[in-house]
Amino acid sequence: MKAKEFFGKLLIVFLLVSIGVAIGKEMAVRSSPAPAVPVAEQGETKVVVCFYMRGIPCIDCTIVENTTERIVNEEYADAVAQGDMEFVTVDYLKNTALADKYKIGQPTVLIVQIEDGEETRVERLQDVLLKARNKSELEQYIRNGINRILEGDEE
Amino acid sequence: MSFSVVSCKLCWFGPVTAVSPCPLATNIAAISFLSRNVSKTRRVMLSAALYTLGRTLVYVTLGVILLWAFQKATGNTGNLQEYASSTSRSLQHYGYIALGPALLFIGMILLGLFEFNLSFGVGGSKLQERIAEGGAIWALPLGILFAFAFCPPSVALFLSALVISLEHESMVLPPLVYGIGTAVPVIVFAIFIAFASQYVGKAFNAMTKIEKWFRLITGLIFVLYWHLLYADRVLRGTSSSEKRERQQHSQGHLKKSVSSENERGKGRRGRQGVSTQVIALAILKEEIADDEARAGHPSYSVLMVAGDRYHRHPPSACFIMVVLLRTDTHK
Repeated sequence: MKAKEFFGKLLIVFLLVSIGVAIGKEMAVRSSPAPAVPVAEQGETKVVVCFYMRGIPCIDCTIVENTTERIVNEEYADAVAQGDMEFVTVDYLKNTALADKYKIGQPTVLIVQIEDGEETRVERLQDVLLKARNKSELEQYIRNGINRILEGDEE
Repeated sequence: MSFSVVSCKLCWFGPVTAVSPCPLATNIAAISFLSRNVSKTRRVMLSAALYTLGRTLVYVTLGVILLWAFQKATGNTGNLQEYASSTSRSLQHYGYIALGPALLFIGMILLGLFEFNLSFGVGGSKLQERIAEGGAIWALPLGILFAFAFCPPSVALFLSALVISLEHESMVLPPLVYGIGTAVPVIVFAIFIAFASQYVGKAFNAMTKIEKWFRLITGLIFVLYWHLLYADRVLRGTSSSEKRERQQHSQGHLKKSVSSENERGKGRRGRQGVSTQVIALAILKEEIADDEARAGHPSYSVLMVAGDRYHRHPPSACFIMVVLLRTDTHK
């Protein structure tokens, strides 16, 4: 009975501390400045395939992340080797500047074309999570998005 | 696309959301909460209906507000997902933060670890007794709370339902159907558990014992979820390198975040699995003192997997472990 009381009181302390710390952390994050800076270095020309996901991983997000990374590294291996293409993952809840810039609120694959350090085109694949359980459809969706950017096609 | 096809699609969206990995975690808690008074089938069914109402209320209210704001701001042109991006991020962020303490609080009450004598004026009895004894009305705020816990799959599906709303100029029906759909698996399981336990309870004349176990497991699940949702994420300290990375990210350096983000993601997932594993191992050690017997127990294997493959979904692993442990050591 004593142990139960002790454990109960301990959990109450944890509960109160956790609420306090969460409020403190939130205030600290809110007070820190988040200036927007260009996404690439000066003079750089490349295609960035970026998967925006929430930091807390889910199975569907992981499927999309792995599939996109595999397609980029295997099917566009030459471009990757030459530094003309790269795959990145960004947590949209932490990278608020980027998330605001591209208006990201759910897992999305964004393909950004950069020429001479300037962003010239953006392809937004926001239905990736809905297609996550259909492997071939997801692959084709991502492949088509990348090809549209490479070929300069409008959707 | 005809409206009947769209309705079928919407009916499908809800259950798909409910069994998606992230909502599935909260739904396991919901099922156990609704089934905590297994001896009263009618109360379980009423709780399930109120839980559904709670979820649906949130989705319909949120949907109507978002659609109204979108139409006002853009005149129905543009991309709803882009328009709702900041709202969507806020829901995912704050819903998650609020869920942790709420789950711990409910879990403590169900486990009898939190006793207080405050009366809130409804019938004059203690709040603790009313929640633990299974007043059906408590399922309504639980439904509301869990509906606010948005995860990436639920956000994507909910916004898709709202896109259908826009296409068919029906503000209420799509989010309504979606909301009911998200609660369907929970209702089915809660009713199934209630009826099945009635049968087993009658057969073994042990309804009180079954009910006690249900309540204990429910409380444990809620407390474990607190650990996952809060202690593991919100309270965890941030290292100086992580702070540096966060600053870099907040400044929008996409290029420089490439390797560090990927590496950090893998590390975070690892830590999440390991810390949940430590708690689960402590429970296992408490139950089975002998080292050899513990290593040979099926729940030990589940735990080992939890630290590796299932690190993305530790609450389910812990839940399986607790069930295996209970069924084995108490039969």
